[in-house]
Amino acid sequence: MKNFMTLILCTIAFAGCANNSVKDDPLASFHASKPASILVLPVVNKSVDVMAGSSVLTTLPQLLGERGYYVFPVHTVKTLLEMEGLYEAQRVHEQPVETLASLFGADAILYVTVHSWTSKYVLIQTTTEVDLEYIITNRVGEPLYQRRQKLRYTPDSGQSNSLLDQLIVSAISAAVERADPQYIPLTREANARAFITTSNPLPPGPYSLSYEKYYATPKAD
Amino acid sequence: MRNTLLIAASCLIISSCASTRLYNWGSYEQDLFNYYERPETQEVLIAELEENLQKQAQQGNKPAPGLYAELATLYLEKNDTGTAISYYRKEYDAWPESRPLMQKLIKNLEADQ
Repeated sequence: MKNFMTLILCTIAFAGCANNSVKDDPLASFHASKPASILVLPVVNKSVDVMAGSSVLTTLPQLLGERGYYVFPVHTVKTLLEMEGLYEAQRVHEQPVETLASLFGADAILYVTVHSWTSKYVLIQTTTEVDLEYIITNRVGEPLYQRRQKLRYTPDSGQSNSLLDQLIVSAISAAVERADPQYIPLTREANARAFITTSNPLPPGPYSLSYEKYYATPKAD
Repeated sequence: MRNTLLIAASCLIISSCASTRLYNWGSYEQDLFNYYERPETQEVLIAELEENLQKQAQQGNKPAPGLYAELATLYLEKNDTGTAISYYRKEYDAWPESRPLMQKLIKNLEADQ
């Protein structure tokens, strides 16, 4: 009986440890899954800005590729889905995860939604506010990494010395912004904040030079 | 002396930046975005991708993931199936992760030819 009690106590103690370690590592499911490839699906754009989704989509491959992942070619993926009759990003996101993963042979899938994207023209500066949501799942739909990124962006008008120079540069940059908002710098910044410059950033992928070192370090303690 | 130091410091900064990059992506991001905004710029996207990939191959650098396949898809849009297949093959050779998809694409396109 005494032995039995000890056994139970030990079990409880160990189970407690295991639970704690999982709880302490916010990326435990990612670390267990260790994806090598990421399928970036067409971006669902709920904003009124027609180019917002394209801007996010085109700035993700370089960021994720440089992080060490094989990123499926986003334009090819979009084209192939359209050939299957899936023209709307929303409809793509509604497809069973397993189907998408096996169709492309992907380890992980990245779903991005643009919730809002609004540009305000105040005097000579343009400020754009965006609200983006990123979710990476594994092949069966379990979330591995999630971020909601709200960002207020004002294009950098360069460094000039005189006030007059600054005014001229701002006027030019606002004019450029009005004609063609600075989509690429903005979404690069938003993506970087969601994946790199955040607490618990996206772990490096297998092609990253820091991959071995990253996974050699204990993750939960 | 001050100039020498400045140059040395700049070199250090530049070389440290270069070493953190895994691939040369050329102007892919901006060109693809421009293509989505103005489809008539397709030729720019194709020419820039092709030039960059040739340059990387000549220098013995690994191509960035997906770029050969993107080029293939753009040729497919222009109904040049032969060139498309040859670039899908290059993606297949460069990236093991792409192989299940590339194999399917190449097989289907060859059957259509």
